[in-house]
Amino acid sequence: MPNSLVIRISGTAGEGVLAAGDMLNLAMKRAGHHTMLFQSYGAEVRGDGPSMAQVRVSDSHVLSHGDEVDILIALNQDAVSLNLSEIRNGGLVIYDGQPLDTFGSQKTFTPSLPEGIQGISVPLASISYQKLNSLVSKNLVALGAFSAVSGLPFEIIADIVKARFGEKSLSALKMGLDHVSENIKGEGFKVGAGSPRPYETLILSGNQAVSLGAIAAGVKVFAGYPITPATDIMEFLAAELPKVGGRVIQTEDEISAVCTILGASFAGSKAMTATSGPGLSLMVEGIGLASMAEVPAVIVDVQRAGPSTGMPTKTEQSDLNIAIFGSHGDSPRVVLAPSTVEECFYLTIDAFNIAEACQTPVLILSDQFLGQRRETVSPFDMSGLKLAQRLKPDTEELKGYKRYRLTDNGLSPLAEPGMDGGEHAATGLEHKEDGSPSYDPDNHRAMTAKRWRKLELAKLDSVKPVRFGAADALIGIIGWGSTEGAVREAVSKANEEGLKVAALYPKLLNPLHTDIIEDFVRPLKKIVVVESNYSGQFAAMLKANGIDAEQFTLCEGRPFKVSEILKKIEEVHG
Amino acid sequence: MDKKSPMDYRGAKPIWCQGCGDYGVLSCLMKALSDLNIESRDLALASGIGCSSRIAAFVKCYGFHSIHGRALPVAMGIKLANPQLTVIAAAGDGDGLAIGGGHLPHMARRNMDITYLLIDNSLYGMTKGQPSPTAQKGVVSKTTPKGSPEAPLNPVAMALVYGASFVGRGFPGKPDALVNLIKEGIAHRGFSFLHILSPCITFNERETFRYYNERTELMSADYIPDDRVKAVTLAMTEDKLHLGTFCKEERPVYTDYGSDIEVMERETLIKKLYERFK
Repeated sequence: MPNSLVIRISGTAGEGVLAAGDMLNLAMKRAGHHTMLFQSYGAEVRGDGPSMAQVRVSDSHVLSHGDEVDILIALNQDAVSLNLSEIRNGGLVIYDGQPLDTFGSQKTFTPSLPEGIQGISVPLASISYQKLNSLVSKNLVALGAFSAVSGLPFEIIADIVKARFGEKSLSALKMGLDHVSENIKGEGFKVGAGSPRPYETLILSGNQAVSLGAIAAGVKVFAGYPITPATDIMEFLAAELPKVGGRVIQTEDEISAVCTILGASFAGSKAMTATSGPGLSLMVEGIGLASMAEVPAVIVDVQRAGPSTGMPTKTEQSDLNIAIFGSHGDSPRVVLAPSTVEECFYLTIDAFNIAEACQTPVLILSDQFLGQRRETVSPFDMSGLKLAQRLKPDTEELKGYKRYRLTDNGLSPLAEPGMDGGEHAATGLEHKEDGSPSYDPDNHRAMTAKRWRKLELAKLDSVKPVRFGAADALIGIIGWGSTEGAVREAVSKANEEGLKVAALYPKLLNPLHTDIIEDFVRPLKKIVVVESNYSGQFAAMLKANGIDAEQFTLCEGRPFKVSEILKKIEEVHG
Repeated sequence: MDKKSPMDYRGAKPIWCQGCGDYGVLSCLMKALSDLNIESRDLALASGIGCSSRIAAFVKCYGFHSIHGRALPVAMGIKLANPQLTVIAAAGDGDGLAIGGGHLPHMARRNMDITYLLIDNSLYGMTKGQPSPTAQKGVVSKTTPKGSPEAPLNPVAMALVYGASFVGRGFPGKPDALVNLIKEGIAHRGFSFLHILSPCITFNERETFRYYNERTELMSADYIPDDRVKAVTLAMTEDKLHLGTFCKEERPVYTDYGSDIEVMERETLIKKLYERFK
């Protein structure tokens, strides 16, 4: 096998593209490879919108979804022409050479493939319809054919199909396999089995890793409202959280969701919600309340292309501004951005720790690409897991208790229901130390400063920016979140080409570790900020912190390609 | 346990206008709490924004004076986190029926064990007298200089139709009935909707103490609050506003669901879940 292989399954919504991608990804993992599954689809569950699932397989950790396609599995005619430009020279297309027309009669189809791209015709529709009396098995016929072409052990994929669709579905898979074995001669792309590892990897999506991280952190109440692409977090936790004594509630809207977790947190429980852009817009007033009343809360935003309804199933990193600044007034909060599925787990635990320790809202900025992609990860290390506890008042403090007592670091002991003497009113009104409303100018300044001081604590506790690339770099890339994988690949390719490039990925986006960023920037000739949005939100933020950089943005609802970043590096390097 | 007195629940000093109906609501609430002997530490009171919502600070308890319209979701979070607490939500008519009106049907559907005090003065007091969702049609105000063209809502009928498991009405001008209603509402296991008529003496010249004294009457002793349809009919046809319990229904509360699930350690669950991802 070459050092990485990209397989794309393409079809229309309802043809089983996503299911096939999911099964293929798992099969490749079970065969011993590292994998990443990337999905791109429309918001409509059925219809004629194109759907795509892309599996990238490698013998080392897969960093990005892959620029070029090695093998295309086209479930219908249009899928061939739609993807042709992305198939590499030397690639292969599995297509349906005998599709059925609307009336069920067989046609013939021979795609015009450029020289250098091999075509393998498999009668997906005919086998599925005529032999199995249904068109829904085209994806399984195709997976069987792929197994024959690639040498992916048939038993592995058969086990997965059986577990998902039952014994009777195996015939479709087998007919696809047999068709290729009997009719097609020659070598395909032999992927075979990977090298054995000392532990068994897991296949997880970013959203699943966030959910597991929340469980590990001890979340007790989750409230949410369904929204693509964040819904799977609520669905996962709804099934699992009750098993550790927690509760999940589907609220009537996102305003209710955020206020519910604030109530739960006030009552002493770790609480979380997850949403996407439109939901976050509704939550900002609640986030301001959490900031003002100093209530710990974790809010996950799985970003999608906006503004407004935007493109619900498409990825984008355009909620940075609302995450940091959303809500009126000076309303401090912490913002974290994981880059990988593994980081989704660990940063969710960090988010709870910071929220609890600093009595402040913490936002996690994931996105559709990170939240819904599935990649191989090692089982998480929970042996060193440290969970922060809230600062609670002792008996002395509870005599004449002042909920918002002014302290050097801004933290005031937080009493919760059940504590005698800790009774107080948490409030969104500006307040004195005892919580009573106040319009006094000195008090407002002192209390605002107190709330902001706590952000410095978050900075101390948070994971530091990650640097990679050449030690003697001339060119620097700064990015955040899910672009990291593609940037890592581009940086290492550039360095192999002899260019001197390094990159910095802050995980804490608010407050920023500006000292570390300044140290990174100082020796460099040129800085490029890579982010998936139109206006360059992070670049603008860096500029506000005195760091000038060139913007490199992408506003197409898809993740960056490695080649795009590499080209930019070459251009800037000169 | 020491027997509580109403004054044991005294929190911050109220700042309402002298003569405001909300003082009566507060004293009836404190009396009800002391009669039920609820410990302050085990009592949570969530409120929204508006004159009456300031009540969260005026009762000695764990109060959460939140944002406009959101008393119910905050109360819901508190109850989910700790079902052992006595949880009360308080909102005004603008707070609870306009900006926060969308939460009421869902709280009724969930039947969470929360007592909801909807403290109704038929206007927005804190912004100086604009009509609220319970203001009479034709009311003249600075935002409705030609008279409001909008018809008032009927909060009791709404709560009944939404399926609240306890629905009643009270008026601090008839304090004994209000104390009893609050006690019954708190004692009821489920969502209790209490429509409380609380005159604004500063901006409301129509719905005054005298107006409600004349227009309310105690629910007849013969009335049995076990029939929702009968209760809706009463709420929609009454000439005089009835004070007391309209409807009461015992049914499982939200937090009963899932309470039979066997609980395991977090790490055990995560390791079990690993199997699903292999």
